[in-house]
Amino acid sequence: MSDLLKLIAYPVSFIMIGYGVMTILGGHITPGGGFQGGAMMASGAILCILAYGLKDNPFNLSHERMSLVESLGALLYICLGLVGLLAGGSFLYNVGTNIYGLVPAGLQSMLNYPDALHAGIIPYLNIAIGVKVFIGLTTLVILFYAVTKYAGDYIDNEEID
Amino acid sequence: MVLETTVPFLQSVGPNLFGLFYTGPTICALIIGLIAGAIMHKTPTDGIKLNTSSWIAIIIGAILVAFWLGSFPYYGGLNLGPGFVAAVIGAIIGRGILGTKVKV
Repeated sequence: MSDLLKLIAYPVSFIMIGYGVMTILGGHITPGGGFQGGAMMASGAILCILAYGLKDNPFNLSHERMSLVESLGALLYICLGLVGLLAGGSFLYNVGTNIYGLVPAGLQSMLNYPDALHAGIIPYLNIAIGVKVFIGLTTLVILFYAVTKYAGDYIDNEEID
Repeated sequence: MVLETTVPFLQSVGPNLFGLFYTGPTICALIIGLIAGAIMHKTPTDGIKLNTSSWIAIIIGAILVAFWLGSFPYYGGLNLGPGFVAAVIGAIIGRGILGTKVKV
């Protein structure tokens, strides 16, 4: 792609990540949520993949780094589920922002999301899912992009060279 | 020591910082931005180098977009999407702190 596209794609990817994060954070009271926000964040990375290609991409698409971030999301989800299991008796039980009395009052009041229904752990579940989807969809596009590199060698699933 | 001083402050501030924006979502946005910035390269990859003024321009652009968005999704306080701005700033900081250097 041209230098102009590359110059625009990278800053725009930050704006798209911002949109995605905002969608994740409002997921419990507005349309959106973890999956949608994660997909919007992934679109920022996908834009850079399309403009720069896989090799010169400003995103670090190494297996180690991506699996680390995706595992972080999965771990957060499991931890929140286990807190519900231990405190409420069932997996992913909504224990609220005061997680079994462990969270200090100041932090609790700070993380208490401003909504009428007190969503409890739902925003944090959205964050965990958003991070997972961000990496998952980016990985999927990397796979598609890498496969299309070899698509010209095949006609009707038969190798021509 | 830090906890002793910060916790009473946070208790006094509460979820809505001086009536301007909600602190919880803003901090969460900053953390997600940091995570997103962690999977970026610190050094330029393809000859495209963004200097300090470019990053300031990106942040100003983000503030403009946040202003047009309004105080989504909590509809209170400052007419600005603090989560949006915090996410962009978090991604830039995360790229600077946790980003990797490209091996040439």
